[in-house]
This record gives sequence, structure tokens and C-alpha cells, in this order.
Amino acid sequence: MEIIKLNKKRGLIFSLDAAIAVTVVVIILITSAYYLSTASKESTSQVQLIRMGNDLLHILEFTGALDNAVKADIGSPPYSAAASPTATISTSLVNVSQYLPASYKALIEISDIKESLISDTTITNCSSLPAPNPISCCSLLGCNGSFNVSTLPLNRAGNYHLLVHTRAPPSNITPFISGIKGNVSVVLSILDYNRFASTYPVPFSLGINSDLRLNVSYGVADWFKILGENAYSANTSIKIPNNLTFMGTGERLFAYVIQDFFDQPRYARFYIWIE
Amino acid sequence: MKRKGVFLTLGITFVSVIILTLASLILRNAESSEERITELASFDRLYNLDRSLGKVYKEILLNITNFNITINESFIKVDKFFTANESVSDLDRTIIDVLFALFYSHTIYEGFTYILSTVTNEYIWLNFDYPSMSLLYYQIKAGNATNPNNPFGVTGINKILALLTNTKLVRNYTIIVKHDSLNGTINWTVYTPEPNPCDNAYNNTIGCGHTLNVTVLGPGGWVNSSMRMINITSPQNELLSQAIHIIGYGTNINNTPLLGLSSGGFFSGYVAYGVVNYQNNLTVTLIIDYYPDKKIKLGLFGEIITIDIAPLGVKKYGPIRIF
Repeated sequence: MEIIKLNKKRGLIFSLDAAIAVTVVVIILITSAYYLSTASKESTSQVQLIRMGNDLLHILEFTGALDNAVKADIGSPPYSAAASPTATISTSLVNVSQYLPASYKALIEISDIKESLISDTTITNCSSLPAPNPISCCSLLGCNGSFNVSTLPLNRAGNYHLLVHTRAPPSNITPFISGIKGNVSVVLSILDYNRFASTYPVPFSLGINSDLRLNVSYGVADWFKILGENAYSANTSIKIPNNLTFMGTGERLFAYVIQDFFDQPRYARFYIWIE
Repeated sequence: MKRKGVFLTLGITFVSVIILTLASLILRNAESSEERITELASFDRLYNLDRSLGKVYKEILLNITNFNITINESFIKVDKFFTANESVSDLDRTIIDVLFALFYSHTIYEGFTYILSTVTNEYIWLNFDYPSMSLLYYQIKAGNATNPNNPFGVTGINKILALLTNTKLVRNYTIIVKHDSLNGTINWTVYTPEPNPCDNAYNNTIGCGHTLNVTVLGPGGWVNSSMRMINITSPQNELLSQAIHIIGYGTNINNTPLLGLSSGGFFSGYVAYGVVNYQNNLTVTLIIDYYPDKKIKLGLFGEIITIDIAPLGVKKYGPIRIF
């Protein structure tokens, strides 16, 4: 009796069996297709892209393009740097397209080109020096006395060197400068002309640091920068697309030296991709 | 016949599992490939930073000092061209001091410093300050405008010159001179430099209150058939107030020179060699051939570079090297 019933439902069972089999197969095929599509995104050949970027940086250094970008920012000796908190490297100075195949794109970034201005509008908690120094902290040339300055928003917390640029008064007495960051004393020593650098790295936190206090006498300070931090880097104007499957990066150091004037070592970084 | 459907289902499932396995393997391979990409890129980054850092230092030195540095596997040469009326200045000496203070090699202990202290028309004083270094070989020779090939103008005599700098603790300072000749004599003189009047304090003591002892070690003065060792000790670990010069005049049994470029190739170990040639081109070369399988590196001491990419196990702690 039961066998007769089953025989009558044979079509139903066949259909169910077929449906389950098809479902299982489809699930497995979809999973396989997903795995295969994921796998196809990566390839060791992409290392070639990174090496091309390294070669590109080498060429830009060799041809002096990186030096030209720095020179355009800081001017000529004896170092009359103009503070440039929003610096962009001109494509005419660093033209990567002439070295790259079609559809290859690259962004070049150079560290320590931007600066933070020290002026009436950027400093806080100013205590001016006693006479004969100016009563107000700032003039058109910069600020002196004791005051707080704010950094650009740092991308990463860490220990960084601080570089402060000063201008001597007409009497040409070398400015004197010291600082404090939170509770940490910042010892600054003169590099050349008007530049002072921290003797030891100073701890900075993520984002804007506004607890850096500078004490400037015998002159004014007009800008400062946190060395090696991406917030103070400038880059070429090309925009990195959002939908990239792969982008190669790398960096090297280079020295800007002109007319026996050594500025400082800088990082040049590249971001390279195929459009 | 009744089981045909079962076999069909099993077959399809089996094929599907194979496809899934293959896809999984391909994915795994791709993940492995991705790791390789990251590792290779990291090593590239490390390599580029290391090389470019060395290049930065070399460029700085060249542009600021006008001293050109040449480095290969056996020597470091620092040279500068002088105009006719230009002489070696204190700045030049300081620069050479700094350049060789940058010297770093796995074959030489850290802390090696080198000072070009005096340049005359006869010779260059090379001032070594390394009281704890046990093996030190060097040769001094200087040319002049009239006869660069016979710099001292004297046949049969050249000089080995060791200067222990002042204000440093001197202890067990040993100099080893290696020579191809089997026999010979090196007469050692120890004295304090001009203009101090304490010159010519010969033999085993030094004038002006210094109590350094100079001893010729090894049987018969020779360590072996081709090496002679001079040991200088200071029992009190004396803090010297001025430099001490030790000069060796080497002649063999035929009274021909033991020491000098004309004999060629007889020095081994660490050799510093200074030349002022007739072209007014000051060249100071530090030759290292004691460990010929080691490469010379010029760089800052200590672990200046610290790169640690923990997830990849890629690390570099080391000095800056100038290539």
C-alpha cells in the first residue's frame, strides 16, 4: 500500500531531488565564482608597479625635479622661506607623466614643505617681553615673547623634530628660542641663519596640538613645522581615485643642496596606480 | 535503473566539490601571492630608504666640503683639489676628521676616529685616536711638487707614523706592521710633536713626564717572518696632555726601504695613507685589506636606522652607510 503511494508521488520526489541538487550546485558555483574573482584581484605582477614607482622617484631625484619643488617652496639662500600651509607641488616642476606609460598615474608627495604660520591670528596666550622688546607679541615679521602655537592636524601621534624659523632684529643679534610641549621641555639649537631645530624628538599627539609654547627673544619667529609628519607634506595635484583595486607606494630620502647651502633631508613618496 | 538518479546527484555533487576545491586552492594561492607582494614591497622600501639615506649623506658632504668620497671594497678615498695658492685649512682637517669619524666597518671596531692634524710640504700627520684598538696599520707618505714619486726626498727611508692624540686614555696600544721582507730593522722613535720642546724622547720612555712604555714584541722583534709588533702601554692608563708621535724608520739588511710605496703591497690590515701630490690634490685614503672578504662601509656609528615592520618580520637596525 505504501509502495503504491510512493509510486504515485515519484514525480514529486524527482522534482524535489532535482531542486535540491540544483540548489547545492548553484551555491557551490557561486562560492567558487566568488573565490575566483577574489583571487584574480591580486598578482605578483603588481610588484612591478611599485618598482616602477621607485624608478620614477629615482629619476625625479636624478633630474633635479624634487630639488626644484623644494626650491620653489623655500626660495634661494639664505633661506627666505615663505610659509605655505597649503602647498601644492606644481606639475610643471614635478611632471611624472613624461616618465610613465599611458594609463599609469602617480602622485608625488614631499615631506616638510608646508609650514605653520606664527602670527597674531595663529598664536594664543601671548606674554610679551619687557621693554625694549615690542609690547605686543607680533609684528608683520613674526612674533616674540612666550606664546602657544598650534600645529596642523597631525595624521599620526609620535615623536617628531620641530623646526622653527626666526628673523633677527635689526641689531642682528642671534635670536634665542626655547619651548615647552605639555610638560616636556623642548631644547632648540640653531642650525644656520635663522633656523632652530629641536635637539631631541618631541612627543606629539594625533590631530591639532595646541600645547606647544615657544619662548622667543632677540628677534621674532615667523613659522614652524613638524618634520617628517604627513600634515606638513605637499603633493602634486592629481587626485587618487576611490575605486582602485591596487595602488603601489614607496619612498626615498633626498637632500636639497644648493650653492653650498644644505637645507635638510626630505622624504619623497609616490602613490602609483593604473587607471 | 532505479539508482540512476542517485548516481546523477552524487556525480553532480562530486563535480561541484571539485570545482569548490579548485576555487579554494586558487584563492589560497592568491592570498599567498598577496603576502609576497607586501613582503617584496617592504624589502624594496627598506632598500630604497637605506640607499637613499647613504646618498643623502654623501651629497651633503660633497656639496658642503668639496671633498669627494670614493668607496670600494678595499679603500675609502677622500680627495679635494686645491688651487695653486690654496693650502689645507683647519676646516679641511676638520672635514677629514668628520669624514673618517663617519667610518664604519664590521672589520673595525666602533669608535674609530681619524684626524688630519698637520699638513706640511713634506708629509701629512695623521692622528689616530683609538686607544683600545689592537690592530692598526697605516702608512704616511706625502708628495711634493718637485718629485711626487719620492715624496720624502730621501732614498731608502720612509716613515710609519702613529700619533696618539692628547687628552685620551692610552692603554696597551699595539701596532702591527706586516712586511714581505724576512729580515730587517725598524727603529722606533717616540716623541711629542712640535712646537713642544719635548721632541726626541727616544727609546722606551717619553719626555715631559709621560711614562708610556714602548716594547717591541715577538721573537727578535718580529712576530713572525713578516710581521712586527710594537706594544705601547701606559701602566697608569695615563691621560695624556698632548699628542705622542711614534715614528718608525724601516730598513732591511741591505739598507733598502721596508716601508714605502716603492716596495708596494707589503702592508696589511688597516692602512691610512695620505698624499699631497704635485697636482695639489689632497687625497687621504683609508685602505682596508686585512679582511679582504669584507666590504667597506662608511657611515655613522650606532643604530641610526630603526625600521621594524613587525607583521612581516622585516627589521633593520643599523648605521647609516655611505656607498
